[in-house]
Order: sequence, then C-alpha cells, then structure tokens
Amino acid sequence: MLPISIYLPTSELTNKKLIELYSDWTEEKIVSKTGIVSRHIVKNGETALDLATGAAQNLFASSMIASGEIDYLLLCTQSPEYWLPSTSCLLHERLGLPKTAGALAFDHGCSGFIYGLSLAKGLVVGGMAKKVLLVTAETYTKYIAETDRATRTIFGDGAAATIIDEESAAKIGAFSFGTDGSGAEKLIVRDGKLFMDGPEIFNFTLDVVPKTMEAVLAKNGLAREDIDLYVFHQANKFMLDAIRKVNGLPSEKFYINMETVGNTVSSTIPIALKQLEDAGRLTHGMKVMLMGFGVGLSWGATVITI
Amino acid sequence: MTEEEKLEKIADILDQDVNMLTADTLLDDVGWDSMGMLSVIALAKMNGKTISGTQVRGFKVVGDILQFAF
Repeated sequence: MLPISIYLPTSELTNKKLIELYSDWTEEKIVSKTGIVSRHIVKNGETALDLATGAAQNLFASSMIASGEIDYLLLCTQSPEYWLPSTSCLLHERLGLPKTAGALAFDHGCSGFIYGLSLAKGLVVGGMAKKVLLVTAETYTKYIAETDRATRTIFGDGAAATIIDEESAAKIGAFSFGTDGSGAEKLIVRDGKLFMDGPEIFNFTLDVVPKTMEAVLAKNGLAREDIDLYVFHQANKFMLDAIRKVNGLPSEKFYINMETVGNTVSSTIPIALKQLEDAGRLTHGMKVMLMGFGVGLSWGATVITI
Repeated sequence: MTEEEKLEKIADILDQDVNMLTADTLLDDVGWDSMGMLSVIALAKMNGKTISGTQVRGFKVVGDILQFAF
C-alpha cells in the first residue's frame, strides 16, 4: 500500500475561538453542519513549502525509503513560495534529493492528489522514474478574509507525502478525469482573497460525482458492489453527507472525517487514507475508490487496491 | 407528497417548528443562511430537481422552496 505521512502546522483555530469572534454561532452548530471541531493554521511566515518539507521528512523517518532513492519529486500546491522558480526545486533542495532527480510542481486543489497519483503512475509505468515522491501542500487559510466566517470555518492547512514505485503503481487502477473551466469563477482567488460560491460548487459536486463514479467503475471493470470503501475529497461533512445520500452509498463504506483538520484541499484524501490506516481499517485486497472534485473546476477518480 | 409533508421537510432543514411555517413565511425570519441554501439544493437534488446558486440566493419565502425543491 502507499506509505503516507502528513504534516499539520502546530497552530490551531478551534470552534471555541471561532464563536468568540462570531457570537451568534455555537460550537455545536459548527460541528453539526461542517463536521469540524478544529483546524490547523499556519503562523505568519510559515508556508506550504514548510508543510511539504515536514510531510516528506516525516515520510522518510517512518518508512524504509531514504531520500537518496527518490528519482522524481511531484509537488501539488496552489500556494507557491514564489511565482518563480518552481517550489518543487526549493523542496528538492530542502529534502536533499539527488541532483539527478526530476522535480515538478503542479497547481491543482481539491483534485490534486488524484492528478498527482496519475502523473506518478505514468512516470513509473512509463519507465521514466522508479520512486516518485508525491507531496500535496496547501495554505488556503492565507487567502481567506478575516470577515469571511463561513469559509474560515471550513478550511485548514496541511500537507501529505507518499511514494509511488513499481509495486504500488500496480495497485493504482485506471483513472477518470474531468475539467470545466467555465466554472473557474466559482472558487477563485482574486486580489489575494478567496471567493467561493458555495451553492454552485455544491451543485457541481452533486452533478459530477455520480457520473465520475460510473465512469471510473467502468474503466476498472468493476461494479459498485466491488468497492469496499469510498474515500472522497473531504470538503465538509454536509456536502459529503449529501453526496452519500444522493448516490445511495452505505454509510459504513463512505468515509467522512475532517474533525481535527478541516478541508486541507489536495491533502484531504491522503490524510483520510492515513487516518484509516492508523485505525486499522485498511486491509489487504480492499478496493478503495478515491475521488477529488472542486476548484478549476477539476475532478478525477481512481480505484486503488490495498 | 402533501404540502404538510413538504413543510415538515423544510422545517427539518431550517431547524424550525413546522407549525411556524407557511408558504408566506419570510426566510429571513427563520434563520435563512448559507447552510439553509445548501440544504435546499440537496433536497431538490434528492427530488430530481436542480436549483442554481443564483436562484437559491433569490429565495424570499418558504413558498419559493415549496415551488422549486419538490
């Protein structure tokens, strides 16, 4: 299975702090609607590069793989350190990766882990790399206006790192992708501030998820009954509950947990997988459908075998 | 579905006492917020209907939900 490590900034924004700022809310209401009790937030001066470094270093410390074995680095972030050079080069330097390793950053959000898996699998299966380090890292909270309480409630900062090699690439199935740039303005950062049209993003999700589910099942020659677990982008509990009900998915197979991390954008899926692994819920041979959907608008899905 | 049953569903979404709701009830008077809008969109989808973001933001009374979400 994919070895996964995560890194969360140490500073937290709890619901208790939120209700001190917004007195007409209660902690209970926030949890019941969003499924979030607290979220991790970067401090001033802390960046997505720092989070990415932390996640990758945790991965090297906990797995049998040394940084010297990595021959390709993929970084997914929409919070680059600079416009140029690529943040992937800075991360490469921080991790002390071999100078013969490639490094590439790509800027997707909610669908980022799925796209990252597809790129990593392609590199390995195509014989261009043997061990790909895939890192997702995001600091959306830096884009959120202090007055935007609804959005502040949802997003958290975090990073995740995983390694894809020949063995794990063979357990990543076929992909289904989708893009609709006409929805770009539904989730966008303009003048440094994030704007999200919640109802429109919700409609998009409710439309795209069932079609993508059917497409990825067909591409993998599977039926719904073959899927043991659905691990989708952990946007917020309300949206995921609705997705589950509209698609008739059993709750015991549909993972929802963002209680202590919030919506960490491209890291939600690997963080969820890590939580499941730590809880002993991922067993050999299980088929897990992964799906990311959101900013772009962009979406993607695959099925992995544990 | 009867009108009473629809109002029950709406009351559940809005976290309100169904006896306080009629088609003319102003949504602003019953805690209408972004979560309410998303809940109505989900309700519509379960009923095979789509309500756009622009549409739901224009809702003024409970009757708008009755008309478009069922």
